[in-house]
Amino acid sequence: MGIEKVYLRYTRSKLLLILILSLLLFFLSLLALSVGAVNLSPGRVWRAFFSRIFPLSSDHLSEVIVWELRLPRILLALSAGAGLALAGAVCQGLLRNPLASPYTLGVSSAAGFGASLGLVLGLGVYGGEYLVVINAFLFALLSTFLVWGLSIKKGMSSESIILAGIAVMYLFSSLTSILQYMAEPRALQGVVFWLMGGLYHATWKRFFPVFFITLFCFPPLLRYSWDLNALAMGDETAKGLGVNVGRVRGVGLVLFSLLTAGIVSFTGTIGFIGLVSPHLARMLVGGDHRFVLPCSCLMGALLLLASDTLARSLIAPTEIPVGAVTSLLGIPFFLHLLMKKRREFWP
Amino acid sequence: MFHMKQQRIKGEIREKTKMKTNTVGLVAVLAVLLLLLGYLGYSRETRTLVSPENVLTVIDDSGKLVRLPQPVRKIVVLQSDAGEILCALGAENLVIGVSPTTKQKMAPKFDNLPEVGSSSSPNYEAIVGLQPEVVITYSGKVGSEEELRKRLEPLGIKILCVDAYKLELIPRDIRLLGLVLRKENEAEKYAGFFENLLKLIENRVSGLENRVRVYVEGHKDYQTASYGTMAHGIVTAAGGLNLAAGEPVSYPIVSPEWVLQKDPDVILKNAGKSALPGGGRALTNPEPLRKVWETLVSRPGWGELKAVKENRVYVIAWDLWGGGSQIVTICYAAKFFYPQLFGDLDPSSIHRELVNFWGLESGGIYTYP
Repeated sequence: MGIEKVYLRYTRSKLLLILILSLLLFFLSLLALSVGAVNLSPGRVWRAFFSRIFPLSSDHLSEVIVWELRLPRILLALSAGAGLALAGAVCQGLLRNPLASPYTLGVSSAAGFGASLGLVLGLGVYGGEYLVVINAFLFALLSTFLVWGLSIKKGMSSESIILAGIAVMYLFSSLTSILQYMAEPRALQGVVFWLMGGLYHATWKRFFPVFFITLFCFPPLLRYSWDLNALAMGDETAKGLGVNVGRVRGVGLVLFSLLTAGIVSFTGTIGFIGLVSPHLARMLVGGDHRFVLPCSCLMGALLLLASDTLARSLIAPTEIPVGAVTSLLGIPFFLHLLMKKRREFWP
Repeated sequence: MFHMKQQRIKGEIREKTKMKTNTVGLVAVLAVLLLLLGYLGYSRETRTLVSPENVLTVIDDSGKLVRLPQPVRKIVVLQSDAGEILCALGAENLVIGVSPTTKQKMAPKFDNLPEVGSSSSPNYEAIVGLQPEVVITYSGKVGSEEELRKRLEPLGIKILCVDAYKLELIPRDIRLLGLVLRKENEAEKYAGFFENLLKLIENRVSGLENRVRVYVEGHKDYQTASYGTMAHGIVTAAGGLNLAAGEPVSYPIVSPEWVLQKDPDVILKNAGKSALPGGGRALTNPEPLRKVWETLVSRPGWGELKAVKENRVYVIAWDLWGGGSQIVTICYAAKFFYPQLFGDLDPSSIHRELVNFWGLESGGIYTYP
């Protein structure tokens, strides 16, 4: 009886933490809505926000700024942050490697290459305004197939996946460098901006795909929480517990790449969220993936929203690349983690 | 014993499912809320911010039809090449927002205006906040043309693409802006300035059989420019032969051996921002330019080059390599290439004339020697 009560208290405290984080996120979103390049008083912002829900009147400029510019950007930051963090948490769990992230598996570099192909050479699978987005997405998926193909011969072990991922990352990075070398300076600028990632082009049209991809990848990955917990103890132990390691890795990798590709093709490569958020989550809620996955999503959303809000308001109207801000925000936490070296959070 | 264990397992399963339903419920509610926001944001039509009465339809440099209000009263300028033209036309009072480069280039004309981001990275909120009628940028991705059109045109803000960094388009762009801003006389005068100079130089070099062989270098060591670039355009317009014209890449980095083998007649160097942070405009003595020249001629093996021995290595400051200033660079280049042919050409006074058009103060040192 005692053990049950302790366990219930343990899980309940984790849930409470997640609830607190959610509230924090909510208030940060409210703050982000009131901040921007144009100085709008909170009163104007709220009237503008509610003017579409209730029959309130608001001045047109504020309505445009709140509904067309700030709100899609905030929601995109939340979705993309959550999605990237989820991807990071999943691949760190699947590969048992604290450095695993969309970058180290080559997905981000491949997406960058696809985008550069579109931006520099105008080459793409499908033309029109979504040329760069579709290119980035397809190449990101291609990189996952490459990694899969390279590592399946070695039985999908975590080492082989990581090595294959690094090889693929370098392959696409060098190809992108060559494209950059060939590019006209003005096209080059476009490529550099894309590689740094940013949410300044956030529109409702870009929000929906990112939101839906994150939403649809979340439940299946959450269902793998117990498998991830088992995997954390080693491949042999997991197999002994009845986990189909090869299949979990395979499906997990596919979902991971869909998620990353779907987000990165719209936002450019924003680094660090996928790497740092799972670690922060583990510091708060421990190593149980039932909590780590949702908590990573919250941390990722928090981190990206905070970074983007700072990026667009610190020296407005100039925008600091959001990737720079995420690194600056994430690094102190990362170092803190390093100093503490609490091994119980990392098997 | 077994019964208690069964109870415990049942309790655990109930707990697990309760937690799972709780999480699923929470996520579902969140998802519905976000979707609702999205629906409200996406579905409602936004009324335009500006609705003009008189309209003039033109074709801009992107090839698209643009309907501009008449008269134009509020302009946001995202690129400095158009900023130059606006000042030359005397229309700078119509500008309500600029990019940082425009502000810097045309200082002090736009010093009091708010900054709204650059052509490649515009700040949509800042632009919308100013409620302009027209936004002037470059065409294509470099001017964020598509994004600007998608986001600002539904609000009634017009996007005008002016590629005034391309020398061949400058007279057309001048006339286009003159037409739009009802400054046709000023536009004719300014466009004529360019056309007359270009024609003069072209007439004199067109008959030449032995063109001067030129190696032109950019900011980076050994980075030259091939066909289709501005530097190539300048060298060719001045009657020179760009040795790197046929290279497969726009801005190839060549090997030093290639330069020694080609042995150019004249060497032109574009001195970059690292050597001249304020540009030639800020210089009161030629020392920084001379330093660049010094580094150039002391490169290993360069002592053997014809251009070095005959003293035909020239350094030109970076702020002359762009926009309307290209015409001045062409004049300098023509004079460097064919000193006898262009003995009567005075590039520095031409430069003064150009700056005068813009209504700015002339000054600074731009070339060495």
